[in-house]
Amino acid sequence: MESDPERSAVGRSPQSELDEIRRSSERPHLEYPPIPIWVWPVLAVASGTYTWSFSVPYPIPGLPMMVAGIGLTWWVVTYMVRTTGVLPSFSSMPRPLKRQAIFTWAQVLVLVPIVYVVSQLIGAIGGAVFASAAFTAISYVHQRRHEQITARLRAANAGPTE
Amino acid sequence: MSHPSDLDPLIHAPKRLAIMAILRGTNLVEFQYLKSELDVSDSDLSKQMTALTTAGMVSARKRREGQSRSTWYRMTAKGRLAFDRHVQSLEALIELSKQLDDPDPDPGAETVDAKAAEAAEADLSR
Repeated sequence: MESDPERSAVGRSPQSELDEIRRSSERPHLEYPPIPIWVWPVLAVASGTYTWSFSVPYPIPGLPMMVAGIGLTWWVVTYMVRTTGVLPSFSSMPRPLKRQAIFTWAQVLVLVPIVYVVSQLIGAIGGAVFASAAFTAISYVHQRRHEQITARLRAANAGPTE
Repeated sequence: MSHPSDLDPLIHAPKRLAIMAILRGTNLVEFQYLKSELDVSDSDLSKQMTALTTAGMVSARKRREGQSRSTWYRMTAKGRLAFDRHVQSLEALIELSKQLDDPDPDPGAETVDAKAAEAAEADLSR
């Protein structure tokens, strides 16, 4: 670039600053490790415990089961945030990752009533096994897709900027 | 409309700009995460974070995790506003530099077009 206004006070061009901002703000999303596979069966058990708590006498054992279900979900989420040191914001997610996250959560939402019906038909233990298998399958597909998208975005970010 | 002079000097420094950009894309960030991402020393990062928290652009919260303590950061509404304004100013600056590089996209084109139109008109009137 020839013109002086193109250079900022510290010798970087505004365009390179904007590129740096884009790279930095996308980094937590691209470097955030995919959800570990064990999380899904644990979440399945947690949601199963919570759902089951409505079918048993209240307050004992209904209330402790409800608290355990919520507590286990909270623990898994906070454990993942603590170990990675970052909690990416959904609103700032790169668009392909956002679409993928919405798609996965839509699958989870569809699965929840199916798990409930299945557990009514084949019993609580069978329902929990079915839920774990289904959540793990969703997790596997999500993980593979997440890796493909982040690899593509990383390659795009690594391209020449100036 | 943002003006290039709206660039925030506090955010403009490279390390703080990178910190703010990371915070903009997250809800919560831990000190060690920022340190590894920016590849800076504890004291340097601490100094930058103190500047940002003092200005009210970032909020900090200390948490005890087992034996150690960790510090988590979050961008405040004021910080988000200042950062977004800074980005808009950079975009305005880029736009301005494009205009300076190319003040008139094709000054000769209009003259040529006008001459061609006059010639066509003359042909028709014959």
